[in-house]
Formats: sequence, C-alpha cells, structure tokens
Amino acid sequence: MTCWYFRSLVDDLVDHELPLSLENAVREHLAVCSDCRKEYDQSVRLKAVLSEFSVPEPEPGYWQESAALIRALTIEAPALVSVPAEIGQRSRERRSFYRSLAAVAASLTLFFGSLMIDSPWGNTALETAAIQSPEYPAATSTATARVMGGGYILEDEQALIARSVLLVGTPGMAFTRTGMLGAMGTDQKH
Amino acid sequence: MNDSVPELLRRFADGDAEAFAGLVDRYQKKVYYLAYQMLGNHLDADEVVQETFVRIYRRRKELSDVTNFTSFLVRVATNYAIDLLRKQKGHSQLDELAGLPGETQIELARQVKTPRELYREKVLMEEIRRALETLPPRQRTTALLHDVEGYSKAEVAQILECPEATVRSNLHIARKKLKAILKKRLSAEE
Repeated sequence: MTCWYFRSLVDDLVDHELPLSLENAVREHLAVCSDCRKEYDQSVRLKAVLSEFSVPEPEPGYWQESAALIRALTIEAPALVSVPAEIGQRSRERRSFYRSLAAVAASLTLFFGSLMIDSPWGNTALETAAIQSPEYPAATSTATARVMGGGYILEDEQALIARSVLLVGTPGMAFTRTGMLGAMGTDQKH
Repeated sequence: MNDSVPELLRRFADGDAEAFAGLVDRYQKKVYYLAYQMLGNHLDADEVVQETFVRIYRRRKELSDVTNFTSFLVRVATNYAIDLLRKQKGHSQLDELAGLPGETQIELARQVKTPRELYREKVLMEEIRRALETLPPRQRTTALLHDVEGYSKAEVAQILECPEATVRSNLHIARKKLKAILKKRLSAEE
C-alpha cells in the first residue's frame, strides 16, 4: 500500500473512525514514514487548535434584548410572520391601488379645474375687467376674444393658461389661475 | 421554564407561545456562537439569531414531524448564515481588526488569565478566524460543525442536507487548506 492510500485515511484516524485492523495498519506505516507522520501530527494539532476556537461573549444584557426582540417579531406579531409570502403581494396591490387613486384624483382635478375656468365664478375677475374695459368691444370685433360659458378669455390668455397647466401640473391649478389673472391684469385693460 | 425540549416542542406545536419563548431561551446562545464562528462578527451573528427563530416560529406546524430539533435548528441557522456568507463574498471583514489592540487591552483588564496568556489566545482565535474566512461557505460550515462544534459526520450531513460522502470530502479539503494557512502555527507547536 502507498503513502497516498495511508494519507487518505489520516482524517478518519484523527477522528477515531477507522476499524481497529485498519487503524493498526496506518499506525504501523506512520511509525516508519516520516512524511506521513508529519501529515498526521499536523492534522492532530489542527483539530486541537480548532477545538479551542471560541468567540467573544456579547455585551451584558444581550440575551435578554435578543429574546425580547424575537418575541416582538413572533409571538407579539403573529399576523406579520404567519403570512410572509403575502406581504410582498399586498404591498404590490397597495401600490397599484394608490396609483389608480392618484390617476382618478388627477382626472377629477382636471375636470373640476376646467369647470372653474368655464364657470361664472371662476371668470368673475375677467368678466368684470372685460365689462369695465372700454376697449373690449374693439377686441371682440377683431375676433381675439371668445365666449366661454358666459366668461370672456382672450385666445392668447387661453394658450398661456394651457401652457401653465402643463408646466405647473394639475395640483397647481388654483394657483395658476390666480397667478395668471394677476399677471394678465394689465392685458385686460388694453 | 424547566420543561424538557420535547415537552416545549409539543406545547409549542399546540399553540403555546410561551413554550416558544422557552425554546428561544434554551437555544439562542448555541445559534449565536455558531453564527459568530461562521460569520466572524456580532452584528451578523445577531441577525442569524433573530432570523433563525422567526423562521422556526413560521414553520411551527412542521415541528411535530421533526425528530431531532437541534439538528433542525442548526440547519435553519447555518442555511441563513451561508446565505449571508455568499452575499458578503468579496467583502472582507479584516477591516474590523483595525481596533483590535484597544479591544484586547480592555478584555485583558477584565479577565482572570494573565495578560500574556490572554493575548496569545486572542491572537490564536484571530488566526483561526482568518483562516476559516478563506474557506467557501459549505467547507467552512462543515469544518465548524465537525471540528469546532463536535457534530459527527452523519449529523453534519443531516444538518447540511447532503450525503455523508460530501461531508467527508468537504472536511478533507477544508482541513487541507487550513493546514496550509496555519502551517506556521502548527509547525511552531511541534
């Protein structure tokens, strides 16, 4: 039998897992082969060194804190841990629901925003300005004004509002209109 | 809290949450030390402890079929620790050693062994830890379970859910690598 064969048995010898007859054969070989003996000695020492391997103790109080946290994650929160696979699904469903809600809210804002533009209340300032403006009939005759739901908005004002809605977005509708009216104050007078 | 493990398992399987707390008290140290040996730091070991018990709690219905709870628990813990090791691959934790001298001084002051003995022990533990860190997760786990924790090859095979021949092979390769890395230390002790 070769050294290679005996060395393949060294691990089992170190672990005391060889049948007695085989163990005796390996030991006889080790007694005459210094290379295999060296291999065996190193294996014995490695096992001894590893058996001493220890880790530092955690901070005082760690075990209590750890047990309390496990309790909070399990016994005191059974609903969370008992249906873990559904959590991701629920989260996705929730996100989808919120996205739909946001889309509906945006649509409603646009709808009511357009009603406000068309409403007499929304156009009070414009109307007043137009009625009070002596130049308005001239503007009407040159087809630069349009009648919208009882209010009057000049075409370039409409374009400006549309651009602002696109830029600022629907939640800024009220501000946009107010700001536009203020900014257009001078235009109303010409 | 003096119930036997089978009794705690039976009560836990019947829905007694306090029995689960008893199992946590009894086994959290075992899981922590094993995880620390595998991962080399407190934070990861702590994470393994929490996750292991949360997973055990989720799988409580399977416990009635478990014949060896310790093996089952260690399997859950090592599986999670191996996942962490694979995620951490390439992220060496040697940087943590930067503060070693200061920590060593504090520990030296707290313990009974002579400072020289403690220092040598600390250095040895770091050498072993670094050597173990070079091993791939399965080899590291096999070496730790067998040579450090003292499980038999059959038990390691059960824990890691692999054939015993695989355990033998992994253990042989791991020891060979460790002997090469710790050659200086193993020769010095001759």
